[in-house]
Amino acid sequence: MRTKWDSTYDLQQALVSDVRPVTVLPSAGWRFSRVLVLSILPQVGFLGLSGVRRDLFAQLHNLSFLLPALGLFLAAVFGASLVVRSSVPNFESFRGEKLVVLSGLVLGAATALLSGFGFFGFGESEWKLDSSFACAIAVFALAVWPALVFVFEARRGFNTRPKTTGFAALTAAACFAVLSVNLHCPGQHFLHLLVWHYAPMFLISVAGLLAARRMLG
Amino acid sequence: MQGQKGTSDWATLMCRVQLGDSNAYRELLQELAPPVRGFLSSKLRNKQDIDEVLQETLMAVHRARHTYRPGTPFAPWVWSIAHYKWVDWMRKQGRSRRLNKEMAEQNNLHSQQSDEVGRVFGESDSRGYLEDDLENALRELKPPQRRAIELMKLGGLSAGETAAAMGVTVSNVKVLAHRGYIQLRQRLKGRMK
Repeated sequence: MRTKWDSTYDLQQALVSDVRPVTVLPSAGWRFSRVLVLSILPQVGFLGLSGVRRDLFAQLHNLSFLLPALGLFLAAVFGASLVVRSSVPNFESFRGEKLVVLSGLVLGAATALLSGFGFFGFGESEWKLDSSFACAIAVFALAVWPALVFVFEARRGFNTRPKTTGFAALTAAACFAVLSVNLHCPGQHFLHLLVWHYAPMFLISVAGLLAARRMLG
Repeated sequence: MQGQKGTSDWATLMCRVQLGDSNAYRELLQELAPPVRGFLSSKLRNKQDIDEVLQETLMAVHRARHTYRPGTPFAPWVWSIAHYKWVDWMRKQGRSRRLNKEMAEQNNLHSQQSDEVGRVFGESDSRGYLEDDLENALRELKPPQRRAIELMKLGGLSAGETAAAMGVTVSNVKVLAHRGYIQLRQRLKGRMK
């Protein structure tokens, strides 16, 4: 369809002649459940194939593992909800909703940093970084599918807040990915976590913010 | 929007549009154009710009018609599209520089309403505030209060129309606007000290 019209009347006539029955977008609850299942499945598949870390049950009592894991999970779920609801025009966000998504983003890095300086029962860590590119690659790879699911779902609607939607979509995808990698990788050193787990997550989130209009406009 | 159908009728028309009823669509587009134009007139001064954004809004309504859920308020749905198209248009027109210029023009336009605002603030000469501080003070309000004031005082909508646009009751709009005025008065007085 053309984008410029001589008069609004001409445009109205063209729109009327173009009208066809449409399938109404399903309810937010249904769409949310669907994207959640679709984005969690590959993470479960990854953990099923590669296995969870051996010390997982011991780590469940460790605050420096549990806090980021909880933050990441909540951020991913709230982010998914935000994507679904913000992709229709009359969207109103809940109070503190965006804060939960943001806190998931920074909680892991903050916890890792604090543990590096002796909190959470760790002694002060040595500033020595290993070269675990595999973890970063895994974060990027595991984020691809959920990101596609979220962006596709957002594009099915009509985005009046593309930056919010784009940022939430890629942050939620990155949170799912990092959560899976955290459940698999036994690396506990704060620099390892910061550089190979959380830095890729930040990059993905920033990419979501920067590419939002292009992806969803 | 006086003399026009209520927003519940618009919702009914939209439901028929979703089923492919072209007569309902013609009626809906004819009904929607004047209030959307009115809304845009409160934001833009150039008639050509208003027409352009109006057309973009109607095209957006066309593309987004599957996202309207029957049974939900129609007015907030359509106003958020119009608002988004206005913001998007402003962004395309040179982002912040242009936005500031339009806002300055809007402030000039609204200074005509300064007597009324001055009465609300209890100040006889409020033009200085409007030019310099009103925009900042408005930005500091809670979003529903700001929206109510923007639509009623700056957009020129009635309480009923504002309520429909925000998806709340008329009395809620009045309470929001009243509390907003109190906050504005306090903030503007604070800035004067």
